[in-house]
Amino acid sequence: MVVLAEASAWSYVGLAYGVTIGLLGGYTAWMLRRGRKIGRQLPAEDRTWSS
Amino acid sequence: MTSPPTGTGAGFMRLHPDGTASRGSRILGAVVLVSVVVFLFLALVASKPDESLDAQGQLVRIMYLHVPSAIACYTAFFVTAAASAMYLWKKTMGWDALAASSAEIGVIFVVITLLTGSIWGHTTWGTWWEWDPRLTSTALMFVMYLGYLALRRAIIDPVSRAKQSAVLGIIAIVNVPIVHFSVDWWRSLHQTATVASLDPKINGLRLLALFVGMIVALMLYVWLMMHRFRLAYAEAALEAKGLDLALAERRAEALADGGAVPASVEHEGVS
Repeated sequence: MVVLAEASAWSYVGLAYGVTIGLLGGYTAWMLRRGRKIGRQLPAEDRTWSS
Repeated sequence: MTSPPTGTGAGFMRLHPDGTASRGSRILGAVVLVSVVVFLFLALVASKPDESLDAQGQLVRIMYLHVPSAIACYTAFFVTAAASAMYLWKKTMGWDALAASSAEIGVIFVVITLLTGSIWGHTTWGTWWEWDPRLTSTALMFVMYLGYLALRRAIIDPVSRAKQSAVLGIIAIVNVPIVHFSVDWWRSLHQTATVASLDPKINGLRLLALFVGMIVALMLYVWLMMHRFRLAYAEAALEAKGLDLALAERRAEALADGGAVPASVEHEGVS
């Protein structure tokens, strides 16, 4: 019973960490990809951070 | 013979020179990545399950995500309010871009707060959701900032958009202290502060995991802000260029028709 409860608790912990990593990873990937796409359309002199 | 310092052959620090990355953001990104690994080790391996009187067992590990993400979303929404106030004062689009970027990242963190809280609540309280003061006010905060982002998409004129969303950004911050103090002000199922007291409810490696989690969440917020702000800046610059182009086209059309340039086009063209 204790082993089952432990396994169940770990599955919830795994779900919480999976959801967090998935959300942050997905958002980061979208943002970086969009940054590259938009950045390409912008003249180099307007990208003041990359100088 | 050395290759030019751009393109994929230019090394890790300049892999994508046309993106939103800078040397500083890459260094911070590397630090955040290492910190995340250290945090995961502390949270999932090194720290022991909670075996105190009100034992949470392994579920205490969810708190190392839930509390830091809540702190990160509070920070993000305070930055949105401060940048909104600065926009109304200075009327420069940089402040508007900062407010919008912070609100979007804050929404990501509040979603994480709600989801991790819900997962924890399902095993501890036996329900995914409860209309408790803390949960309800957090859901309201989520909806308000979602509304803020929706408002930004609904208004085309950049100045009007910036002004109206700045007002909403300042109004919405009122809810943040209500969320935080709801557990003290009303009878709540949600537990009170875990570490913000002289006698914290956790200690040792568990306290360290929570503390490292908070630092990592704040560093991640800063790193995301660097990229998101630059993206917002680039989008605004492109939008302005598009507007200038449209004005030039209208001016050319008016001249080709042999008529005078409309006053509105003339006026906007001067500014």
